[in-house]
Amino acid sequence: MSADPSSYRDPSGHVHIEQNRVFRTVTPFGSEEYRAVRDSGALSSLVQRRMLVEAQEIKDAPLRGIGKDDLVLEHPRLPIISYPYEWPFEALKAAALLHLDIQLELLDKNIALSDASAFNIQFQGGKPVFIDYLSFRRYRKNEIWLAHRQFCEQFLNPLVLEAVLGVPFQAWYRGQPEGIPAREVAKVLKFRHKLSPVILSHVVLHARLQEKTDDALAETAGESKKRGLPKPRFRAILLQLRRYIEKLTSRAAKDTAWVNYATENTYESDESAAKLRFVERFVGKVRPTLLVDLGCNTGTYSATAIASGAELVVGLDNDHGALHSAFALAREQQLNFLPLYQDLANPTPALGWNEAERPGLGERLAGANGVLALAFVHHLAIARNIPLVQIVEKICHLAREGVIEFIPKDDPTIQKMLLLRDDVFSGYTVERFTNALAENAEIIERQVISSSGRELFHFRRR
Amino acid sequence: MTRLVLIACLVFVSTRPAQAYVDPGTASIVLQGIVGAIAAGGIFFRHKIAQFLKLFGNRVKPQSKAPIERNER
Repeated sequence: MSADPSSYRDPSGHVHIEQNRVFRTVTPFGSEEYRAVRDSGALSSLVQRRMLVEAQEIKDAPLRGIGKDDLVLEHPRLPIISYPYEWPFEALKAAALLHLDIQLELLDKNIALSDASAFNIQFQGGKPVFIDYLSFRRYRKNEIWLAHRQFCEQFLNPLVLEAVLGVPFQAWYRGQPEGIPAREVAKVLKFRHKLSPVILSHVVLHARLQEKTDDALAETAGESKKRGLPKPRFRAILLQLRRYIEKLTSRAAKDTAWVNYATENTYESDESAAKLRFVERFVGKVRPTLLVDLGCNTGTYSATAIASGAELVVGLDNDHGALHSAFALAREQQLNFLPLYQDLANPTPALGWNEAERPGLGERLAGANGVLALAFVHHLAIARNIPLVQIVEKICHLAREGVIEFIPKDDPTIQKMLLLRDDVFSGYTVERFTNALAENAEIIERQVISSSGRELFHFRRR
Repeated sequence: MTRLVLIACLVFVSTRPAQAYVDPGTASIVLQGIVGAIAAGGIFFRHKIAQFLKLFGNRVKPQSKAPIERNER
């Protein structure tokens, strides 16, 4: 039996998913380091503070074909897997700080991390958690930080791109899941940005050194490696990066088009209340374990869903300002709500080795049993010209049961969208919508909730 | 001061077209040597700076390590 398609690089062990359980084997190659780290007791403190997933060594794992000397750990199955190129800015920042905090804490206990991959972190609601047990090993005296380049490419550079330049990192990162190289960020930085010591060293000088190819560099590196990096200096570098990243805020999430939607929308307050109650009724009846909120905006309805009994809500939106607020909401109220950046007209495809290493969004959301599509359909239908029938079909197949809102064409929001465009949307009518919905599912309840004719539909696929 | 040191390093690191594959980790190792020294407060590492200048021994005359020579000038 083979390991999970994403678990191939590390000879110390592999992840296997079997019978909906998550196992991690530890090969003889990795067992010495694993045991040393385990026996130090350093990890249990991290697990207690939910900075690291739990793990239990088990004897009779239902795995075939693994080495007879392999140890097996079992981890709790995370209900949603997300990738750094889907995280809002504040989420990647939280992940970066978690990584550095773990490194700093464990350094004092003479344990090091052998890599700095952002993919070693997942989210539980708004809280990042480290998942790769085999990344831990004993610290070797004066060892250099081998993962420094990876840390820069997978954490620092994307954050700098968005914080310093105002370019959202997700699309760039998705195109290069191994991380964004220093030379690319350095090329777009302006002179005044380069004066910051952290940028000057970890981005600009780093990029320049990477472009050198002669032997003198290799020789210098060889000497540096031999001399090593004393612990106080290693700690100083980690602290420097931590202090810098802590202060970063996104320039792409300020004053975006949809950030103030929750307070500046076209619903009257009683209309909003009616909409909230409809959603509460739906969630109370269905109690989804995984609810997907399409166009979650600042998370108002996601939060309502959680309060009404949804176990986990994954929110998807492509407005960075709205996502910023949504993520802040998830953190502040400690909700099991994970807002992710996503353009639903172009969802994350399968990426990486063999086009299987990082499954696409659809595959990762296959377990969804509830969906909300509130004030959403017209974004795909009108703004992106996607046929209404196809949108309805897609939403009905995301989850068995859900709520879709239909906004009629003469609603002021859509009229605004059509101001400078030709109205080529003769098929965009409530009749067409209802027919398409009825073809895919049963309409359990429908309610008009605004004077402009906005209507909510609770559907259930047969 | 930190900025000056880093800018000095930059000035001496010219870029040449990459003609051979070099593991980018090499750059990281050299960088850690410099940044570690600075970040930990040891800016005045003469041998670090001299070492850096040595990378460009052909183009730039390395500064003399002996203080006497400087005083004589």
